[in-house]
Amino acid sequence: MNLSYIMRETFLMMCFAFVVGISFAYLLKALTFLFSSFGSNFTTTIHNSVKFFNSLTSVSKNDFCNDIDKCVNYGTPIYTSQLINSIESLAEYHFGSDNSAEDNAQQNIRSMESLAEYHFGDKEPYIRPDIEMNTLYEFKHGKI
Amino acid sequence: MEKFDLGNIFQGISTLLQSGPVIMYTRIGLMLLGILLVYLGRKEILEPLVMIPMGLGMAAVNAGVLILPGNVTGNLFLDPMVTETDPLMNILQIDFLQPIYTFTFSNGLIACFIFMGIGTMLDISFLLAKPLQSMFLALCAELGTFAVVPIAYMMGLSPNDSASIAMVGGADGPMVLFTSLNLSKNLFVPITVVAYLYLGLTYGGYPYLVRAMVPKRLRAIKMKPEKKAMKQYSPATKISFAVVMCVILCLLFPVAAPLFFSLFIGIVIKESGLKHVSDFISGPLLYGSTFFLGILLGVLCDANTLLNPTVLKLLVLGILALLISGIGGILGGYMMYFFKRGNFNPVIGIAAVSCVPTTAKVAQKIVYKDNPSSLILPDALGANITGVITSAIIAGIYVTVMPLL
Repeated sequence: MNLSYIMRETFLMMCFAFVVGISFAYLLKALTFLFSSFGSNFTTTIHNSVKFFNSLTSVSKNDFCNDIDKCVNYGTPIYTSQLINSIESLAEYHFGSDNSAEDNAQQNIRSMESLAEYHFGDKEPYIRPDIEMNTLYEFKHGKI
Repeated sequence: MEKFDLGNIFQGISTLLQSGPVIMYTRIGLMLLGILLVYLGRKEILEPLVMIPMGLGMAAVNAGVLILPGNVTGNLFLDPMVTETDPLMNILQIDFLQPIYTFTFSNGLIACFIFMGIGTMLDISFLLAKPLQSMFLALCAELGTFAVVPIAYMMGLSPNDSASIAMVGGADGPMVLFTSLNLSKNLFVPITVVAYLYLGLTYGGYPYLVRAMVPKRLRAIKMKPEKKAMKQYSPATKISFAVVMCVILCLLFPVAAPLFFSLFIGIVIKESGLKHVSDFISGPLLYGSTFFLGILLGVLCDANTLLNPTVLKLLVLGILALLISGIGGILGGYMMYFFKRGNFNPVIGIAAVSCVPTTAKVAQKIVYKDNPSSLILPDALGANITGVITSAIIAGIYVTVMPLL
């Protein structure tokens, strides 16, 4: 093995990476075209159909809601808000949260901020000695 | 009275004085370097998230050397050189960081955790907007990853080690860790340390490179908006794209499949709206993994490991790889400027060096300084995100092909 052999092999690998990369980009373009020709709601429709099919075969969010109504009707309102919260968490655990109302741009900015924070740390002054001391005291001796 | 021998009590100092002058000065130097890294991390000159635990780990491991049974010197942090099962089982019960090292670091799991976290923060709509442009720039910005392989070989490194250090040109820490773990079992510690040290410098160093290569007139270019507005993709569409991309890339490069899977599972989780899982991956998992990665990298920097004469070569090659990749990215930006007949800001090329999102922010910051009305961030982020995928593709090629040479 000599330098020219390594140079040739590296060059071949570079060309191969270039070909794979560009083919990959074309594939993405083709997929974009495919999705847009099926209409913008193509995948959403599939997604919803799967959800509908699931609702026929398993317990859905709505079933939980009916139970809440029953609870309220039978006069057990004390735990209702807790129940709703826990059921919502449970439903979210199974079905995921509905973030359709969330603005895309805002989401992007948030992602960028989280990534920037990941690299450079939180700019907010997060050191609050009093709170930290209280937490430490509580950890050792229980609630103040 | 033998029990009260000060040398026995303060073993950190006695081992320092008893060792040869080279080891002694190296240990002192590394302790000081560790403290300096903590300071630079705190000042945000280097990446604090990695540098602060790494610096403290480096200082502590070089200070905390003691005499172990059998009259050999060592520490109670971890032993990276143990490979046999029986000694490993013993060490796992003694060295406190050994379980994390053995079960997460040496098999690349920690790199995959970090990739999952990065995935939950990426938005692939920037990539989907202009896939060809982004991919072309990203490939150009990998110039250092290829150019440094023959240079490293010329400097006496093996082909595997040359490929591992060349991966620094991809400017992606977990990727360098993954490649060097697969290709350079003996050198992966210094290679990863060099990579993380230099990656922290991209934020400060690349603006000088851009200003040197792109005149103000071109830096200030305001690109005309596209005829069609940037398409907004629904989460379901993004999931479909991520799934298809993941499957294809895993089919092409099975050796890098853990990396591809980790990146795309992050994207899919984010787009699926599984908020708690997404919060867990982008929060505790990502930050916890990075924290332990920093500690492990620091703890692995003991004097004996870094006294290897190859480390000096790695330092030179690492910075060279990053520099050539930066130049490649800007040249790609120039080519795109000519392809698009002037309706392209060449500074975007630097964003294709896949240090997400640092280089994209650097590009926008430079352009903003010369022309506050010029917005290049969407194009820069597209190239930036594609850079991560390109680096993973090249890691896959190197890990597959290099052992066969």
